[in-house]
Amino acid sequence: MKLTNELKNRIDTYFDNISAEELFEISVKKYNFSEIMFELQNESFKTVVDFVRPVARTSDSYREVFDLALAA
Amino acid sequence: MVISIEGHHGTSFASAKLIQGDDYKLSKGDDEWLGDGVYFFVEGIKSNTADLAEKWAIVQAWNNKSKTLQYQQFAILKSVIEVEEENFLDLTTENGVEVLEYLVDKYIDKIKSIGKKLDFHDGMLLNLARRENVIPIEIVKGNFYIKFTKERIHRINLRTNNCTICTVCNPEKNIVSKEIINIGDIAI
Repeated sequence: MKLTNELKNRIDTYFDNISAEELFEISVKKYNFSEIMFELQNESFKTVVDFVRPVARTSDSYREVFDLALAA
Repeated sequence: MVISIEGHHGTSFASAKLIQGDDYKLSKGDDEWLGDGVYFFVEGIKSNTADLAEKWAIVQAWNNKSKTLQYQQFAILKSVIEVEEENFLDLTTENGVEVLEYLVDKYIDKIKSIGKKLDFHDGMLLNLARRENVIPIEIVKGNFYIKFTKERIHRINLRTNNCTICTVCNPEKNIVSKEIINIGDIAI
């Protein structure tokens, strides 16, 4: 398989004809992509728990961490 | 142009007998390297693909939770796979990677337009591309690092690929032959 003009057009047509919202929905519901909710420097976190765990190790309190999460 | 590939598939002897009488069953799930399909070791990084299939069948027999073998006998199947060049995504080549990268760029641009970011890997995007008919994929080939018994026991986590595998999305169409070429016992 090569990225011929025909194949490029076919890929372009698919993405031109689907809305971003619909693509997002099928990605998550049909193909189990997971949404990245928070990002910290070079790391990404899918849930608040993923975000809190690494930060909590170096923070004084979970309250402080949750405030940080909500501000992100 | 039709491309012909020889592949080896390692499994339990019981499953191999079922495959011989019927057909291969697809491996499905988010963790599949190249998306849903029947997986084969094929020539690429290594040439002795029957040996890789045997190692895979042995490591798959071990249930790490119960610390027991799920089967005591393994079998290696050899198959010939045929596919038209335009339906074969070869991710061991620059041409193949270019297709995947174009797909990723288009996907990211679209999702970014609504301020979203999604976490995914190649197999998931390939499933979407194939099932939504974005690109006509029947077979995908790629180089991977797979942990066999030695790698698991010694917790060896190299970043260097150690085998070439391919997935066949529609076995009834693309697998033209299958035969058991080796049967063996697994010892703990």
